Amino acid sequence: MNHVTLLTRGFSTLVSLYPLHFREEFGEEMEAVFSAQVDDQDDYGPLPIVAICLHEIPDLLINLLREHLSEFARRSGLGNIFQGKPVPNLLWWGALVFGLGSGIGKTIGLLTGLSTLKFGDYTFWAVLASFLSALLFTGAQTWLFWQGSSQRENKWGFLVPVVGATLTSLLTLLLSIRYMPMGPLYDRGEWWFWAIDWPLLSTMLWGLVFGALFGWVYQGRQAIFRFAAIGAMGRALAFILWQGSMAITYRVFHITDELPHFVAVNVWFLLWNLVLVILGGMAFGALIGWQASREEKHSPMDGVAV
Amino acid sequence: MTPSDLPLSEQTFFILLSLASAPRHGYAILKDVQQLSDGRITISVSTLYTSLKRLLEQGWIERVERDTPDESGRPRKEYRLTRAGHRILSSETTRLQGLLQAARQRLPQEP
Repeated sequence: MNHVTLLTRGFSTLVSLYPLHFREEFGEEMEAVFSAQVDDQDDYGPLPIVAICLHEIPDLLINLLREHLSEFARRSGLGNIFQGKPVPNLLWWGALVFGLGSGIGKTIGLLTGLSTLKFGDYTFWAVLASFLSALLFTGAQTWLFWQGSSQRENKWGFLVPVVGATLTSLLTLLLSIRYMPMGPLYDRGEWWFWAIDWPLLSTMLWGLVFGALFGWVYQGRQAIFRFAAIGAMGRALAFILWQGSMAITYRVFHITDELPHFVAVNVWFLLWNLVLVILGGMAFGALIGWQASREEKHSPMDGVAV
Repeated sequence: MTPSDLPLSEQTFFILLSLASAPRHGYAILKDVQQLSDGRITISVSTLYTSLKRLLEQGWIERVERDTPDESGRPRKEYRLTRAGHRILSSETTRLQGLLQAARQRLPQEP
């Protein structure tokens, strides 16, 4: 086997890493062009061939990555967002964004909140951090749903993330003020108290207001009550999931201190909290998105994809 | 064509320019671009086909299959400019001419 064939084979192997449809359309041509290029330069010694390879390989790796990203964007429908086209699989993307966003947001809030309680009065920063993080996740979700909505002309759309974020920061403020040591309660098997106490009601209120606003912006007045109910239920479910799992966590880690320390166990505590909140957020996002998808499917307006 | 299509990248401009006179296959485009740019631009094979894919999707070029096969016996695939491709190339050329004209008016002429 001569070096031209060897190089062409190596190039073919790299081309085989391209997404299938690209490979099927251009793979053979690319190999033929590369082979012709190497063949042409073969008479001038090894240097021009080395130059071709040095030029080709980094470019190919970058283009490979670009093609895979573009394939991912095409298949998932995410590419449509950046082209202003309706987004398929909106429900799942909305749920994912909301889940990830609320997980990260709530963990930031929790970290700041715990700092507030343990190291001094940082309530202002806790409220600000939760406002900004909530603005991020409610904003991202709203924007995502907006892409597939038939109600884009509604000028009050911006209220959804703003109200969502304000409600979250109010909740953080309330939690900072009303915080009570949970460890001993969990340890005494009284976690249910926390699951039905005011944190649940306040989070349901969050879902109620956010859901109602979301429904109004996306579907109009007739959808306010439906979305309010779904918002409240979704938040309640997410909260109970989080709270119940945290009770188990407390038992597993035997946390009995008034406040967990910021070493060792807290890394796991925060990571576990992050996972739970993401799951809870995704459940909430999926519920809202599912309802929005159903409504959009029945919408008489054209050009709406769900 | 939308306003966001312009300006074209140098590579895209030269690929379109290469196809303006006649349909060409991949390797011929590579060599022609190098010649047109006085050896300044050398496009890699992967970049060429990534660009061709995008240009096909945009409808600026189209693929034609020649009856005469290539050396390996496969049908030779060539690319040619579409009407939309011609339009965008003309618009870009006009834009570049405008820039050149403005620069010439302001910059002192070299002796």
